[in-house]
Amino acid sequence: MNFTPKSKQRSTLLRSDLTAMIDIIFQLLIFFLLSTTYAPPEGHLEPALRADHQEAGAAADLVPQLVEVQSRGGRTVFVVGQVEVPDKDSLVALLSTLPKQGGLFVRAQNNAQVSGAMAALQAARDAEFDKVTYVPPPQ
Amino acid sequence: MRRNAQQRSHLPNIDLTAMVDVVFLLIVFFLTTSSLVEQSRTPLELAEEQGEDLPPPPTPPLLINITAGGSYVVEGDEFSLDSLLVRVAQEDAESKRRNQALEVTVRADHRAAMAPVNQLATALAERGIRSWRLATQLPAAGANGGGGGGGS
Repeated sequence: MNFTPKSKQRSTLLRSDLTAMIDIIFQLLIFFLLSTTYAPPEGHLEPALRADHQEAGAAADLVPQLVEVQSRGGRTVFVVGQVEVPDKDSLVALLSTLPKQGGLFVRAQNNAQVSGAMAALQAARDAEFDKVTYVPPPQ
Repeated sequence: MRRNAQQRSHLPNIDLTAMVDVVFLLIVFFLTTSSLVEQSRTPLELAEEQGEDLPPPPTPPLLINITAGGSYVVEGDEFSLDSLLVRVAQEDAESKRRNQALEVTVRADHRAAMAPVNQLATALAERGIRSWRLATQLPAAGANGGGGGGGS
């Protein structure tokens, strides 16, 4: 027969000491708060990829809708056919006038900067080309 | 007597469940975001472009970083183009075994020359990989979207 009062039984059963666990949890939390560095979200461009195995002069199918990214004296230049434009805004304006159904090819010369090639690909998307293909120059 | 016992049981009972829940949630958040993202990302200055609205890739992509100096870095290790292509072939074979296409994301520093990107693109295309993603840094909120790709 248990003679301890009911209230006392309940209190001894339910009490577990959480102090140590909470201490460790707070230490972990402070560690992660101090050690973490914020990674900014990134965007993505997804041009199709195609290797150009033809000779430069024989690549007739690429000529009408090809944006060539070149570097001249440290400046990026975008060449579309016979037209040269110096910046992305002008390139978007120029590409907007081209027919969209054939898609667009982008090719960046080896000495051009990555920023120039990315600007050309973004301009193609901004000009609402659905099919954008990146063609590296023949190696 | 009865009153005393009741007082004792009321006073020290503070319900910590909600607080412990929140603290655990915070710990799980920091564990998942900080360690995983930072391990796979090499610090690079990406080109500042808006990018496209793309769904997240169905499988975790192979992240190939290209530094400003033109080196290929995967998961913190530097690779030559040949050794990188061996790694790509291994990943491609692994993906094919699972009936999935290999997802490749290229993170290239905006100051790098296009030569290493072009060499990689040619090699990928020759190996039948026709789809890749190029990572960009989203422009800061409030910044003008225009401007351009002018080189420095």
